[in-house]
Amino acid sequence: MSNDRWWWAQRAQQLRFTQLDVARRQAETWRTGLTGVTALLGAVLIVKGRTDIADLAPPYPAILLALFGIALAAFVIATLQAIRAASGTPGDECLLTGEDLERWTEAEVHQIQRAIRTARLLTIAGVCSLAAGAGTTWLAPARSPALPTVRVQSSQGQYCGRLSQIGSDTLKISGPTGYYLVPLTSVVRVDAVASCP
Amino acid sequence: MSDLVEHHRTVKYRVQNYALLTSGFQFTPVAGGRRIEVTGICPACGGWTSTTWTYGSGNDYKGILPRRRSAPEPAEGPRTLCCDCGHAHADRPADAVFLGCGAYWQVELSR
Repeated sequence: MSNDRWWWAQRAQQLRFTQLDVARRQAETWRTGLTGVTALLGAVLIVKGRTDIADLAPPYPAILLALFGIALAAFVIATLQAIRAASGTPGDECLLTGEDLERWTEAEVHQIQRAIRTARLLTIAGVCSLAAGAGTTWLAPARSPALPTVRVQSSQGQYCGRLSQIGSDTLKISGPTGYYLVPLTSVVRVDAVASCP
Repeated sequence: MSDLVEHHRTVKYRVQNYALLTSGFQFTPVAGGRRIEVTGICPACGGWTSTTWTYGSGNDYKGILPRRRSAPEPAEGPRTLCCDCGHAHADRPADAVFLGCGAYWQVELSR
């Protein structure tokens, strides 16, 4: 007859006397892993591509924020799953007898495989999200420059609005009710103002 | 210690299975139920053997959130005991975990 039961009983008894060492090693694993999680934030910010995200046309800044957020969340969860797979001892649910330790080990092996699979998928998702975000920063159109607000005095009257276009013979002023085309020949003075009255 | 009289026999150390013993062993919860002390007579050498079972302590370290705080009732069923009588037995390996005659058997853990 196999001595499996004897072997498991020995393992369970040994575990009883090595719990402190095991717990210390677990703490070290978590410390290293959590340091890595903190470093992930910096890594994501480095890879994010062009720095002037705020200058991109809407809605690209929001899309980028979402992509980088998804990437960071995926990396953090993947790292935590990997740490979880790499550490762990029987907890309160396991009485340290041979039979209980054997059952716990079987369940733990299953959970470790599931955690590794999850970590792998999340890492791939994070890399894809990060790559998509970095690519978007380069390919997204830039925000159109803000049009200055001007007050134009001309022989025909005074106009206030945003300076939309300077043509060969007219100024195009965008007002609250529409566009004004002011002939350049009639312009007397143009002042930049903060807002129109 | 039980009132049972110990009749220890000097036998050589040998790993051997004595299957399921349905009587003769006492289960005593100690330390607020955090440990179970199992005592009885070894079927091989007749020595008084006492083994303590504890719960694992990895509760607060696994995963992000701590799991249950109190020890659950262990599932009923057979559990393996090894002779830990403490008597000298010839040929016992120096690194033996249990200081007995090498015999092992199962006892029925009930609530």
